[in-house]
Amino acid sequence: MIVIKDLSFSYDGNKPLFENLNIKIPKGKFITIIGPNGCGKSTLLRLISKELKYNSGDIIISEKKLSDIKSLELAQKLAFSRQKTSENLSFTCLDYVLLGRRPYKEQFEDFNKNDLKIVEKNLKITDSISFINKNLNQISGGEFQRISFAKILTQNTPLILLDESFSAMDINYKVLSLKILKEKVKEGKTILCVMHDINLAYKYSDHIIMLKEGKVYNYGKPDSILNTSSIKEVFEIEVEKIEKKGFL
Amino acid sequence: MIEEILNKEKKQYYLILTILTILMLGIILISVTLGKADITISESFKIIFKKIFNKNIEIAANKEAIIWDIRMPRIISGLIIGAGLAVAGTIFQAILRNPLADPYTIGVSTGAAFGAVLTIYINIVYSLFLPIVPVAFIFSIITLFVIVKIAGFNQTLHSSRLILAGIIISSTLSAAIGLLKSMAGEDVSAMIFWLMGNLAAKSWTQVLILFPTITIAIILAKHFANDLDILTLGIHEAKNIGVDSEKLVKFYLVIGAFITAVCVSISGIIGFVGLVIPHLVRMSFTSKHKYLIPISALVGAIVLSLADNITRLMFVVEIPVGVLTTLIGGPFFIYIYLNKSSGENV
Repeated sequence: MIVIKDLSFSYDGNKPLFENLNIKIPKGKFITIIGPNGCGKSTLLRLISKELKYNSGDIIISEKKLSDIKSLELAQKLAFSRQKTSENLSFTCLDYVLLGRRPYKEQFEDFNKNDLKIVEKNLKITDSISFINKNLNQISGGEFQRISFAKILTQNTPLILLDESFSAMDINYKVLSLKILKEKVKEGKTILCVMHDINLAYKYSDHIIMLKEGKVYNYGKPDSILNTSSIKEVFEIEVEKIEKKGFL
Repeated sequence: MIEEILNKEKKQYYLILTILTILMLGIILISVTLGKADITISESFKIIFKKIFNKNIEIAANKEAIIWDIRMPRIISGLIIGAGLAVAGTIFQAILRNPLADPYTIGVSTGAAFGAVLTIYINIVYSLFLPIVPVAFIFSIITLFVIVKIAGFNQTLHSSRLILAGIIISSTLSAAIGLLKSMAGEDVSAMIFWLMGNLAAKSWTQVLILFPTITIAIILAKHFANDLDILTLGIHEAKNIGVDSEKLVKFYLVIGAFITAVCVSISGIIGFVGLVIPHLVRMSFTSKHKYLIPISALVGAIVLSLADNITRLMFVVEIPVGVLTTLIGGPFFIYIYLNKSSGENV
């Protein structure tokens, strides 16, 4: 699905964050990137979503070079829920979610019944229908993440990038969202997700990528790569594994 | 359920649009009637009817001249400029993603003001009669190019860079205006009068300039209004849903600046309409630009023509309408803001 080949990137004038990074992300899997702050998790997602330009190497999505994919085409392939969303002039939740249908519309085409049906379905499964008339700046952080999640689902792309998209949700909605994503993976979608909660990552991911200082420290099934020593190595903290349950 | 919400919004929009249009037509009729000359509403109605439909109706020639040649162009100019400023304000608030933006934020207006003041100065010193409007317009367009150049047209146009460039150019030009004012000595009053913004002594020539340019610009702005919604979310969010925001920002920058340049060249700097009206509509009705643009245009037109009526009729000496809009607009805006925005950002 995504092939990252010899990728190098640095923020203007700083020392390189990635040097010759190579990652292959298979189709139809739930993949979580974990790693300490500043290790390049978000940057990697922003590079894949074409928000940032890389210096050298290549990112290939479904056998097409990222630089050859136009923004509209990319929007039909890939949905990205970013960590920071800018302040908005008042936008209602409903209008925001409707934007998820935008990549499938011509310039002046209005939303049809089918679009509205998709939006309504996603608002229902994220349980956010009760506040669709509110403005984005009137709702809580967790509610915003649910709305944002509904929009990403509405975009209905084969590839979904999520950057800390559940961090402000309560545990109930976190689990609900992850279960929805698991369903999407069964339908053949690929999820690439940045998460800080190691336990949730452990429980829901098919694969985990551990990043450290711009390099892949380890990549594989959660059971094989998440252990007390790798966590100590990457995060510099002692944890205790509670067998079959998670880490504390 | 969602369909109902969207339909309800649409119905509401058409209702508001109809009410505002009727209101505006009523205001035109009343405005042309009010004034020092003794004319009744039915007479003004007859005159307008006669002129528009080219009918032969007996009416006193002097009344006809007052209504049609003196008052009408002024009122129409006011309506168009009000609409233009409100739409330009809406555009700038969206593309600069800043609720404090207005048509004057990026300094195009200061360019026009400098052009006008320079023309007035040259006219005084060399006893010439150079026309102010075209020079003001040319200077505002030059200013736009300089600002965009500073902000970096070829790179991603960041709103903060545009605002910064605008402020720098504005203050430089303001200083230059100050210099010209001080050099003008006793003749400074003509400059000050222009700078304060007014609609007095507008003729059909100005309407002929204003009407086609501003109307086309507003129609274009409305046409791509859905994209303007997306721009308020920022360049990256726009890209994520497949919208090429850089091109769009440039397109809207040019439209907004063009409207501002035309309006300011003709009427001087009329404050607050472009800042307050978009907010007012956004707070009380919707922030969807396909609705926001037409409604702001109508509200802007109505507010400016009402304000102009006040300056024209209520004072012994006519005061510039720009002074009045700012004088009333400021406190009014604070009132609305404090009442409506408890707990939310505008």
